[in-house]
Amino acid sequence: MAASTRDSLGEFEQLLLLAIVHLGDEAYGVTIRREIEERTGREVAVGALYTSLDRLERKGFVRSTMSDPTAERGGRSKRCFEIRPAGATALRQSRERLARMWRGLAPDLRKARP
Amino acid sequence: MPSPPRVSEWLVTISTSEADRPAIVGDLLEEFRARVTRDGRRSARQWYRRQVRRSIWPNLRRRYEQRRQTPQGRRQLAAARWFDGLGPDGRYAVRSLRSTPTFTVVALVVLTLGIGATTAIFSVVDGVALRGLPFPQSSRLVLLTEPRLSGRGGTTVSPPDFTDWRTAQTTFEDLAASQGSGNFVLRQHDTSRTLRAALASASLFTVLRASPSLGRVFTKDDEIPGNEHVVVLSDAFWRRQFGADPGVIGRTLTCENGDWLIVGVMPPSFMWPVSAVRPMDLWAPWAPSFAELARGRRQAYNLTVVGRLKRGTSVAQAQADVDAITARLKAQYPNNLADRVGRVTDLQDAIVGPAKSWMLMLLASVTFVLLIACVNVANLMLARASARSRDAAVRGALGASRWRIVRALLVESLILSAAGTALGVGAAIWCVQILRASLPANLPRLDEIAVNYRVLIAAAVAAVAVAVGVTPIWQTSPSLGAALRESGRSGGAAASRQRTRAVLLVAEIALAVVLLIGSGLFMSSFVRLMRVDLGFDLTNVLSVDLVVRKVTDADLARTRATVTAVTGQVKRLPGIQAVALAWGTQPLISGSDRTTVSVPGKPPFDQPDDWADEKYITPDYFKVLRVGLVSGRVFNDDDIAPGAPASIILNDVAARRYFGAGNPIGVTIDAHGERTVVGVVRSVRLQGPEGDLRPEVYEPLTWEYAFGSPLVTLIMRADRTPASYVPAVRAAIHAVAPDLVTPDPLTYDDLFDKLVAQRRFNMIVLALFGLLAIAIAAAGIYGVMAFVVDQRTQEIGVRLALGAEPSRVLTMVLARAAVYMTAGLAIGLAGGWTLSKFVQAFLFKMDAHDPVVYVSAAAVLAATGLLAALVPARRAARVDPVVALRAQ
Repeated sequence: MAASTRDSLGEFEQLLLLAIVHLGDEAYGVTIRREIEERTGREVAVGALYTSLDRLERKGFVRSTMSDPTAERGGRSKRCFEIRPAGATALRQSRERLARMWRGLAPDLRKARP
Repeated sequence: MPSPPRVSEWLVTISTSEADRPAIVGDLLEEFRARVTRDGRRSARQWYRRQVRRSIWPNLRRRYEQRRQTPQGRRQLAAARWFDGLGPDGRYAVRSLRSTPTFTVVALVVLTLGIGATTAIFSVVDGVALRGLPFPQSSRLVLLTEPRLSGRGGTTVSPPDFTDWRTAQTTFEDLAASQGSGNFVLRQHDTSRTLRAALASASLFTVLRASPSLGRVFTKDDEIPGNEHVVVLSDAFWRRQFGADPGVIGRTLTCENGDWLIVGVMPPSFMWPVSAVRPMDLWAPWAPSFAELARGRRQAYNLTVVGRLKRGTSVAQAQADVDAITARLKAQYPNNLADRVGRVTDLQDAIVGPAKSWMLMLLASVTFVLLIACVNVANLMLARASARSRDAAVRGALGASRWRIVRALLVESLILSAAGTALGVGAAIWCVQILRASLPANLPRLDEIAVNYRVLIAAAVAAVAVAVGVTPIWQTSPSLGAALRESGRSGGAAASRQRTRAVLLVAEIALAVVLLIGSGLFMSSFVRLMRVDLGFDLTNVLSVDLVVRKVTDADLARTRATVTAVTGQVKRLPGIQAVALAWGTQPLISGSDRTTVSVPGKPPFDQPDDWADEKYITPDYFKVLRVGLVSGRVFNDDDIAPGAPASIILNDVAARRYFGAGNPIGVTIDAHGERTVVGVVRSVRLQGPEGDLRPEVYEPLTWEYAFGSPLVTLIMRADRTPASYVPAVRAAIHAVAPDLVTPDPLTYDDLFDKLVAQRRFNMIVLALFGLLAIAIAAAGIYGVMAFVVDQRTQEIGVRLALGAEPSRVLTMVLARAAVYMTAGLAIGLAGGWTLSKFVQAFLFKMDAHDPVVYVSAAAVLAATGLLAALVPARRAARVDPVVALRAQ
């Protein structure tokens, strides 16, 4: 029970993890938000972003490190994110569950022909 | 690189924990910069604000959670536990307020009225009297004046005295002089307008520490005669006339008195003179000629002089300095300065001093309104508290601390008072618009009255004070036993609550009586003022100043022809009954021209009080103003013909003063030359209803003098509302004399209204306060009596079941109300009697202890109170015993 709650991801969490995977070494606040915005058109508030990322880190799905300060950020450091194996597993499981639920349905939600 | 919006950046910085800050603030900045390059600054700033708005709450939550992880943070949070559960408390309060709509609406209305009235009046008082002058270090600014020894007159200084003071003084950084000028006439298309202009010494700007927003101010070089054709514009005039064109510097302003080079524009905050009825349009250098500074001009008091004290110098030291210089000048020019003294006054006191006590009186009165409102709401809250005492007791029994229970009540009062304040401030903003329009136009700093942040802070403080004040903290007890006993309706807590409510009600009635006495006094005073016989009939009189400039002997004939033509043209207008010209002291306008009078065989009348107000008139003057003739005759056309024998008419005060019981007709007196008295007319209160009856002399307007003043006034009587004749009169004048500069025609009714504006304002404000007081007090009486009846329904039911007459029940309830009211009336009357001495100074010729006012105030309140008590009393009488008994 505990494991399944831990493993199941909300939609926003999935978006975050996928963005981090897409970005690879370049994943930090600004790029993650941009990635999600560009791909989904959904504007993400920076406060909400870090709240969810913190939760993912507590669950052990991502790891974050502080980079060196840069000038274009007014001398502030970036918090860079990378995905951990547990995160990758959870992401795959989520996809698998969704795929199973979609099986037999066309994208317009009509019953697909078998 | 543009920076993000400051407030938002600050908000996001304080809302994030130190650990989060670099990542979040840095992300926002980085993206902001990218967006500035991509979408432009405006859109980037919008994005930043939106981001911050949506991030604050998640940031704060995270910050709170991170704190909870460390022991130190936990300790800090424990202190904040006082505020745990505030959210539910708030929701509960809102829910309970909504569940009792009558209570909420009544409380809100009362609070809105009380806070709205207070806020509006506070805005007025703050703008006029409390706020410092709009100059840096204004406490060091002083006004220098030259009043007579008798203390009368003299807010001004003569040019030679000013220059002497300025050179000899040692206690001021500098002195500056200014004087109004009516000579800047701007001609545009067909109309000409006299600009509001002041001539000022260059030192004015350094003394006031004012710098221009564009260009420069004057320098010493501009003060040299010949160089003085430069002007500095006010911000408002610059916007109005030049559409805020920054290229205005170096352009020329062409007025009838020449071409003026525009050298600077002042910021909107700059105003001088501060007490000007309407702000100035421009300032030009005061460049006195040698003639003006010559000895003979020592009596031309026409300068307003302001000085800045040296740092650390007191007004008294400056006064000693000025005294010493004036003493030397007196020795030098004994004829000119004998009856004058130099006086140094703090500038703020000089400007708002006269209005200050008036403003404080208004503030004190409105405080009473607020007090009544608070007492009323406190009373309502108490009623709720008794309804909720069981609820409080249950919470207490379940372990809630006393603080939690009191806090729930506090939250409720705060929500109520915050809502009341918000509504009240809204009402105040609206009221201030109305108040500004109805305040006398000569009130200093009228333009500065507004609901500003100072007022809002005051309102917020009032809101918190009201909330705490109306919360029945001492009435809450978390004891379950007490509450359960109370359900038997004989408990000690209920009885004590009942007593508190009675005390509050008595206080409320007493306060209302005091306010009612105030309204009564001001209304009665105003009625008296309106009943004063002015000696002339001011309805339907219109007056126009004809500005006759540069009158030399050569243009005298031409001017006369022009003015005569204008008079003829106006007289021909349909509906105009009579037209006259007058030069000299005009009715209802302050300022006067006076002359000494000597009568053969009598000692000279040379005391200033014996001087006569003097005016030159054409024969129809008395017909226009409907001034009655006492004896002799009025002027006829022969008297104003050139070369006619010099004649004069006295008013009856002058006749008595100069001739005693003797007959003045036919006697030749000396008033600006030898003249024979041909008639005596009734005296006129020239300065309005509050003015004295003074000696006046009338002389025929023969056009033999070059006028000292550039104005001759055309007055006319119309057959109905004179304002409707303004366009026709203006057109008639323009048709005959297109060159003549004419300000807007004025009606005597308007002039009169201006004279009584302050008293009318007081009367209206106090009358409104009185009305509010009655309404709130009536609501209070109704509330308490309804509650009493409610509490005693069972008892009343028993009485009725045992055969009591319903009328006895009615009397019983009314008698209870009468007891409260008698107590309130007694305290209120005594309080009013004591407090009314503070308003004595604001009353027109009446005693602040006028018994009629006190009796009427008491009667009005008693009648209203009994009516308010009648509703619950009748309900009590109609109680159905069966229902009442079953209800238990």
